[in-house]
Amino acid sequence: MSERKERPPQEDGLEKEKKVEAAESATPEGERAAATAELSAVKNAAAETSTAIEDARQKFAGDPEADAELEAIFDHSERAKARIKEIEAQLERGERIVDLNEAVNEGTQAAMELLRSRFEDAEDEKDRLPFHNAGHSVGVAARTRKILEAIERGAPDLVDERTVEIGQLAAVFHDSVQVWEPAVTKDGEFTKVIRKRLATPADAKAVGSGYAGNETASAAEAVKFIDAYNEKRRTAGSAEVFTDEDKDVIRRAIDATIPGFDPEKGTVVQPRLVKESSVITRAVALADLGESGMDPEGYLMAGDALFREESLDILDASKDAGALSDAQKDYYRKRMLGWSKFQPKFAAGRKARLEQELEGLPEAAAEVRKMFSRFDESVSGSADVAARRENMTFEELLKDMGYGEDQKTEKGVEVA
Amino acid sequence: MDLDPQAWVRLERLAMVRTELASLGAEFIDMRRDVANVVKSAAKRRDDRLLEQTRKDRLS
Repeated sequence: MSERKERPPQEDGLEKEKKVEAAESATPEGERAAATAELSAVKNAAAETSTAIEDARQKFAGDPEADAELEAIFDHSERAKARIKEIEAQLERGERIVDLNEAVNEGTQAAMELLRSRFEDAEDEKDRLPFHNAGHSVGVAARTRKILEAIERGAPDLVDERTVEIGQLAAVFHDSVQVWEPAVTKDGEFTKVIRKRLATPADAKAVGSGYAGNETASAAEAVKFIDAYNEKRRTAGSAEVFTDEDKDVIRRAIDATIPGFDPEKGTVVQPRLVKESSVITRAVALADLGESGMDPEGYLMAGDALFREESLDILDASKDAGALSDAQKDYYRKRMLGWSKFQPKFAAGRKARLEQELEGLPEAAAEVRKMFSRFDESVSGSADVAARRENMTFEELLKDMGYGEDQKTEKGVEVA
Repeated sequence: MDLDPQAWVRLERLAMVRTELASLGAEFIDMRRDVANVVKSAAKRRDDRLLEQTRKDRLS
């Protein structure tokens, strides 16, 4: 700066510097304000032009030559005015998406904080979930985006930027509440303790609770964020970002992730995902169970993580394996091997269900199918793991399935 | 200034909008100039007609 004071640059150099400084100091907010002011100025110019044309028409109504020339100018001004309207709509739409994008980023952060504090940093080890943690939800959000982008390629009318943003928000909150009870059953001479997630009111009722279920409660967390965000915008004098319809869409999408079981195909299903479900519902539901078709490496890790999460008794037993009797070790070992052997069947079942789950999306089914092209790798990969584990001891199995590695959770995926 | 990629995309989009608005603003200036020219020519034709009429009236 001091050099500039001592020796002023040439005028064209100065102009160039000013332009560079302007570009460097431009902010989206500043550009938005400038564009809004310029839009207003152009609309005034259009109105003044229309008045000038009308005045001239009235003044020289009997002059055919003037009439013809003014008509040509009028046509030109009408085309320009139509373009102004398009730009205005484009500006508004673009800025709405920007606002929504910022809101969804904030919602994603809020959901991550909830998930980490509840299921990763919890004081009680049993509340730290190896599978239903932030990594799982980030993975579902990333897969939801990919699926929605695939649907857009096949059926552009069904998906826009808003759809993708709302889909992501539903995905990051879909497992934000995990209420569970230990389900204790006799298994021969042993006692089996499994974590029972209270997914539905029926699950809750079975343990004497009036709780609405995890998915309903998770959707309520998303709605709570939305209401708070809209309130913050109102307080700041800005328009709300989310609509009541967004809340309904998110509720329905999360609701559709409630799991059921298809004994015939031996896999988890989502009974509330139906032919009539919206694209966001379908994308979130498919993404929730989509690992076996989209990410075989993640699928192998997720299978082990879910076993560790569910098998509360084996978690306890893993703390002091040396104190277990041979019979107990053998019992746990059989369960671990049984789970491992079930993984190929689960992936094959998901593959078999895909066509049914793509019903209601005929225009985009081909594009979505391409996203789910890796079931066979999951089947063979998990079959290989199960075969390798056949000859492992209980202690070796514990290690192989990730026990003792607190940080070994489902592989996280960066949200696009 | 450090901006994230989305902010750059937004800046670029807004810059394009501003360029088009500037171009439309210039078009309206041209249109008003054209209207003024039409008015000028039409006024001249009207004056010429009046003069011609006056001349005819005087001759008759």
